[in-house]
Amino acid sequence: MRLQSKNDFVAGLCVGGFGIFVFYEASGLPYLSEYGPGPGLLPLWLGIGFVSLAAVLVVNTLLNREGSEQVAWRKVRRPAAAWIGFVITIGLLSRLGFTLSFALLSLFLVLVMERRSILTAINVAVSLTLAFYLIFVFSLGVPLPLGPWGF
Amino acid sequence: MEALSDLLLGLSVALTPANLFWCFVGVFLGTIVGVLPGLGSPATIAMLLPLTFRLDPTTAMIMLSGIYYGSKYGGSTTSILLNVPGESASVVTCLDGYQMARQGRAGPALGIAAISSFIAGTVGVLGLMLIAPPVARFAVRFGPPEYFALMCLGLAMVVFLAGKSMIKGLIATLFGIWLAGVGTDIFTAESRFTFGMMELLDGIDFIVVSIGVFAVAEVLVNLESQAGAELFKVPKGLRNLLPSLQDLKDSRFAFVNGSVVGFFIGVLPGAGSTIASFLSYGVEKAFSRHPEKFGTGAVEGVAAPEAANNSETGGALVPLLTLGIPGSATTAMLLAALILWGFRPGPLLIQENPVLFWGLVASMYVGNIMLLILNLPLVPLFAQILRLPYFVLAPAILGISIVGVYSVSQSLFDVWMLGVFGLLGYLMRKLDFPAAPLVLGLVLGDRLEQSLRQALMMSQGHLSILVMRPMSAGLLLLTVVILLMPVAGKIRSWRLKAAEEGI
Amino acid sequence: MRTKMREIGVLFALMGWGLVMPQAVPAWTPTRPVEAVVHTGPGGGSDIFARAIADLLQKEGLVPQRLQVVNKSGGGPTVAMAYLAEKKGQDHTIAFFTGVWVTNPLTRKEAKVTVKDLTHIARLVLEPAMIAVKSDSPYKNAKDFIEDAKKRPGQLRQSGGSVTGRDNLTRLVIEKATGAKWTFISFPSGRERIANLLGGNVEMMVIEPQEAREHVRAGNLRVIAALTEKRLPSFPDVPTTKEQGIDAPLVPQARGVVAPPGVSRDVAGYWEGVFDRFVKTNSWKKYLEENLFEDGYLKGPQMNKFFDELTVQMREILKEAGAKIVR
Repeated sequence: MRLQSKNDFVAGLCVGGFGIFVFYEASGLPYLSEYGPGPGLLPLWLGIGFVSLAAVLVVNTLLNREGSEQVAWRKVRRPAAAWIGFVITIGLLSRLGFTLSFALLSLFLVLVMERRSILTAINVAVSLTLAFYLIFVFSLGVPLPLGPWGF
Repeated sequence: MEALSDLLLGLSVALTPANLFWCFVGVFLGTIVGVLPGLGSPATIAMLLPLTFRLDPTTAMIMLSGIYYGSKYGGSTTSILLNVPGESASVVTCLDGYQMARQGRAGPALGIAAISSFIAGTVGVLGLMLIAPPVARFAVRFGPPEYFALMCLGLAMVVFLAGKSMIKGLIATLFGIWLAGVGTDIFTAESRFTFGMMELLDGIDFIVVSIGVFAVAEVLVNLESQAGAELFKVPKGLRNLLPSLQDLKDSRFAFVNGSVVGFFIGVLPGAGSTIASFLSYGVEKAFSRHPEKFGTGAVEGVAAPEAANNSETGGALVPLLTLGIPGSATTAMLLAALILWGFRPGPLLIQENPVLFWGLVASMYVGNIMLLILNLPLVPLFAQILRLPYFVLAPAILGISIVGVYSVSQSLFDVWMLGVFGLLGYLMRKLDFPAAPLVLGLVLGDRLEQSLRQALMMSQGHLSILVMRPMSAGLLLLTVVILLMPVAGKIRSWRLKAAEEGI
Repeated sequence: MRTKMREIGVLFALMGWGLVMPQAVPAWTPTRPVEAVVHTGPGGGSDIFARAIADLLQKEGLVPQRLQVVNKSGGGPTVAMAYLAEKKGQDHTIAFFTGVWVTNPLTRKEAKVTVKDLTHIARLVLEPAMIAVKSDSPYKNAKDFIEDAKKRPGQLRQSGGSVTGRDNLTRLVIEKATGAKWTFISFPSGRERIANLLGGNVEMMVIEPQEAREHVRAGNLRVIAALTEKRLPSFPDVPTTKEQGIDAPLVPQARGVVAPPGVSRDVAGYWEGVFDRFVKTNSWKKYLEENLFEDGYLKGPQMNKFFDELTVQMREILKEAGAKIVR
């Protein structure tokens, strides 16, 4: 097993914390019901499972100090930005409709993320958005969020 | 043989120009439905239902069924090219298919998917034709204890999907099972982990999770470095765009495995093609001489699940046509259609409507051939998509993900969930947690818990019911064997090492 | 030229007459596709019912726009009812309700919208129910089953849907009336309920006649009681529970149409009129026959009493069964 010490340690703690949360919530549900397990039984044991596995993970990282690979956290900046852009797009869906929001997302990705020229960005955004519109909205009639201008 | 004369009757019906035309329309639409993530066959059939009233019922049935099994062909396309599962059953195809695409083998992957879909689809129809009634009778004896055992067997597949770290694989699986439990408990109508949010009352949709964890996460990972130009090598030349003879040879067992597993899982009402594809993938890996290659682009890893989800359609039609019990959401729509057209689906349907049944069966053979002819030439075409620079593909994939998720139930909440699971998937990739077990846990978790509780209700709380019934006992035994296999493997390698180091 | 002028003049007069005479022109008609909300997914009971009605309405030319079925599933009818409440006052939305729209808010906290909040349009059908067993079962009639259940309390099993659904409520009232007790196992879909009965995993189920019909015809299932006031025309040899001495109230399953709250009188009146004409058509009568439904037509204003009575009855039954009543 290749483990990346520090990250696995933190991951283990997170999983353990999650397990405790699940256990807590599950204890509020009936454990047994007429003839058999109630809704609380499985989540309770899942919680226990999470905590136990997390413990194994954490213990393993403490034992194998020579962690082999380091996770390149420096590289997270770009995906993080992209993800924030994605989330903003989702937020805009109900206000601007799919077509416009998607066009903006494409613009953002090409211009900001990939640092292409503004012309390329507009090109890509327009052609992709058009393609999506033609395929999904026009031909297939897939219901998509509409903006204030009806598309 | 009676079946032969019936089949000839069926062919005479299937090969009429009208039926051929509508069969083609059906499989063509089905392929599109499959290629596009989120747009599923139940919804499409529902949309087209009013149109079918103008057609002859047999023709309409041929077309709608065409959509059903056609969609299984198309589902692999986006899975392989973009790591976006086109259909829920295509999730497993992402595992090796996408890796093959990254290695420049998108063409062979797509080709193998089409070929194994064809073989399995045909086997499925054969099964429907020849052994439908006895298989159906066997299927109704499959009760909650057997389903529970089957789910355990499926979960044991984690052993084959975990990859490097078993601990992390188990954590992912447990998380998937937990996700499956979010929502309303069917037995007591209590809400679990819904945090008061009404949108969570029905649980979290599988497609949302799988597209988020596979497709969106993949885009985020790829954006780490400014790739810009092509990320995938797409070799030129037709020979490199279709599966080689070696590929076909390697997939021999997968074709059989997938077809058989898929068909029998399809017959069980409620099991589903996702389970079928996971199981056949696991079986394939279990019997493979080089299991380490799975997950890195093994062609059998594409052939097996693709075969399974295609023959599953043949299997799912068995309970529908022989008992009037639909096996999945799509077959439930087909049942509704049959009722609306004035048929009475039930055990006497085949006897009283031989034209419908045999016409349908014959048209399925024809349809599968049409699909093969339709899909294979499209393979080089689709593979060209990968030539697009990544800065075009990235927004396209994200866009498809949004459309796919939104088209399921028009819920913006689902799209937000997509964002959440995309982030989760990315973190899992960074921390080396495998995604496949999570999806597996999600698919199986619901039914696992449900079946166990139903089984215990059947036996008034005695667990012994699970081992007293032959089928469930057998499946549980198989599960234990599979779980012990890595242990056995380790023991064997210790022994070998000891033997080498000793005398 | 002069005749043409006269024609135009007549035309204008007619138009003027039309404007002045409001009864000749309907106050409101739908001008774009109408949403028909159901609380099941595609292929579910309400979904199929809605699609059939949409189709029949189109065939009979009663509505100028088409009805688009919208699936809003989640927590039974919770999501669908909340969706309707959100659409307050909007006129191009209707919904198809079932009995569970009444019972759900009684036990579920999150279900804040009740059926009384919505605009009642029409009740269309009453779905009768029957008790079915496998054809090789030792129970020839309902009494056999009850006797056996009394001898072995909790050991016999019934397959059914949600615990607040009609089949479980039926079980509760019969248990109370006869003193017998047996287990109820929930299966999420109708197909699994029937499959488990056929497979011998459960002993009986409460089933709708149209679901049972084919299996009875093929000899796989036997119907041992009708849960109705009078015997069903499609199953004339099957005695009702009352005839067999089981004095339990009947739990009705109704299906009908509602609209969002706050909809104008014109719009509600329009829909009431449409369905009033609809239930008189031959295609509807044919549909009732084919699906073995009972005509349960009630017009909007009459539905209040029905819902009130049903709510009281449901609350009673659920309370006695030990369910948590939140409303």
